[in-house]
Amino acid sequence: MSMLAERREAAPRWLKDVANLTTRGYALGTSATRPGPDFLVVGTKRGGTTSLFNYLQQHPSLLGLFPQPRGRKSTDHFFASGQHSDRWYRSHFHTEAYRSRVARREGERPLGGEASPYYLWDPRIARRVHAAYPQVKAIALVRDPVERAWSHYQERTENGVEPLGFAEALAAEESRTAGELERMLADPTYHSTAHDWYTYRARGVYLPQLRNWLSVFPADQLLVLRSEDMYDDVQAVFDRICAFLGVREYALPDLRPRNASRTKSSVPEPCRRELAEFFEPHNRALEEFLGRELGWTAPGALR
Amino acid sequence: MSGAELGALAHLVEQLWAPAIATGDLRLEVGRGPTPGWTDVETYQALPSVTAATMLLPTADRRVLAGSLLNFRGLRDPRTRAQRRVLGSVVAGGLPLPFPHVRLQARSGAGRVPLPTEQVAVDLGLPRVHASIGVRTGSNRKATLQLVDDDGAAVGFAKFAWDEASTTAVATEAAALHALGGGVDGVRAPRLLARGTWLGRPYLVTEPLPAASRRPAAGALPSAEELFALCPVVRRDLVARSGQFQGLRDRIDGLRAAGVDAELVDALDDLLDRLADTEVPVAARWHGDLTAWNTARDEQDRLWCWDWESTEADAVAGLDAVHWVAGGATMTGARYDGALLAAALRQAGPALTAAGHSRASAAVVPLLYVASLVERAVALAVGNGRWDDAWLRRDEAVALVAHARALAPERTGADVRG
Repeated sequence: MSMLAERREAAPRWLKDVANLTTRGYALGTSATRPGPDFLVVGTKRGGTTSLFNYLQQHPSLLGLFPQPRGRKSTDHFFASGQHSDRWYRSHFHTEAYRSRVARREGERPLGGEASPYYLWDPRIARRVHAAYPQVKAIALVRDPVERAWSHYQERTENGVEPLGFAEALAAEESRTAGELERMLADPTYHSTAHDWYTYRARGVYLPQLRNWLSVFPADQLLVLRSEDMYDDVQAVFDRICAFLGVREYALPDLRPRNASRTKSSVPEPCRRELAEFFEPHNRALEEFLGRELGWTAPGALR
Repeated sequence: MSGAELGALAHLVEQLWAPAIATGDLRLEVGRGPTPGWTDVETYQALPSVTAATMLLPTADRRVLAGSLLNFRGLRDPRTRAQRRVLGSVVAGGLPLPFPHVRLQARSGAGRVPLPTEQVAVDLGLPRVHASIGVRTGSNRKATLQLVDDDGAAVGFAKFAWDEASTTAVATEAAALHALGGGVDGVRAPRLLARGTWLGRPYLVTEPLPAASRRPAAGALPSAEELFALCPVVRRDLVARSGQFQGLRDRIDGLRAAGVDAELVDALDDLLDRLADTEVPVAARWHGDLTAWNTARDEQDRLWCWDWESTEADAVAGLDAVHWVAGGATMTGARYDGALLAAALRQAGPALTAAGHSRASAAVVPLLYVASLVERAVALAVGNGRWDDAWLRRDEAVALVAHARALAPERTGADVRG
């Protein structure tokens, strides 16, 4: 959090409300001069999207959401329950005038974007994004689905919405989400929290999600990155992203991760083994699709 | 004194002191001081009056009175809080309170039985406890005693049974509190400090709530994690194989055998048949009356749940979430009907999903809730000789069961008798 953001955080509630209303009013009033997103970080949940968005915002030519000091990473605009207009959405991005000032300073046109790990997972969103912003570039982080499932479960537990043990939650996934996808596809306005919150297993099957995105966007507008590569060497991955987005390389001053689980523990057995067996064919198909080995948890592997 | 002269206080005499008075060595006097041959052993002040009493305050020194009036202010509604604050100021100023005295008197020189407060003091290892006593006149009435020590500090909460229904309730609650052992880190149940029998009447004593407890907003359904912390989901099974359902079935069979309200009992029976073969997550227990009125949050925002007298083991997960919404709404004037059930399912839905329900099995929970609620109402009506119309009128019960049957799954014809 920037010093300005920290000061804002310490301000009294009423002052924040007034400031929010003022900036939102100003942003809406100037939305005609604000372009939509140039890039989106679309997933995966618990795959490092918050950390990545933080790294992106450190680049002088990569802009977060307006007003920047608020530090928001997502508008959730493309969610089914999003009731806001395109004008409202664009009010969250920086004006052309501001971008021109940055461009004069940096020598390149700055880009704006947001990050929502739900964008890749809700199969309706790719089409919504394409209909409004066909030029947008998307970055998808994919993480070892066994570790992702456990991290996702821990996050839901920390949020107070997961009363079941991990094994029980995995067993309940099917009943919790029964009929949800059909209902989503039948009703464009239906947002399913169960489909978002409790899909520990299903959300780690990445290939159909990527194919869904690529069914509307060309391959050169999607960059798929392995989360573990980012954890291992942030700068190297960041350089690849800069090349993908078409901005100059930049040495990141702060490489700390964000929004990691507060609890650090390894995936409990026998769930780890069971999940590894479940994901193995899906991971193999993804490796074939990406043309690289992913090195994720394999059945019987010692970690 | 006659029951008519005592008014509301007659209920408390019946619920608490009757067996002691029946020995002939104790009596209750209103207003009068000791008369020859009798000595005051406990004195109270009836608020606001004897005939309309809702509470008895112990007549004791300033600290005891202040504690009795001002402990747990955060659990009272704003009006009661304001009244108590005014009374507390009067007491703090050393002025007498303007309420009539009620005296428990013992025959001078006679060896008498211990009073409820004396027995509880022994249980708690204290020289004395002072009780402010709720005067309850409703269908689920029993004597409840908020206990303080000589300094006015809360030392416990006691419930005394007096009839068959309250005896069952106290036994159920004591067993549940013993099993819960105070609860878990995030969600607490008061620890059971003592249980026993006083002149043949069962009672229990629980630890006091934390001093800074405050009542949660009625609309603020606890988180899924909190709802299932003391009532964990233990398995998936058919509704028919849950212990709570089987108990309900047995009680409804008992009502039929006793010839009670055939129309309603048959409708309930049919409703149970329709719910029986749905697969659901089953919890170790349900609280049975989880509302904002039976819960509090302490300074650490931990949830405290008390009043476990309606708890049932091995119950379809989520009944408490539905009751929190529906039962809570009735406490603020709503009546049980189809719209309230729909609202309860809508608001409790995320908690039901969290428990592991599918959308289809979640829809069964409010219907099972209706069956449980109406069976309770019928049983209370049998016990009291009349329906408790303030809570649920018979015509409302009939309409509610009909509504639930219309929403219930089609009967499969499978053998659903457990």
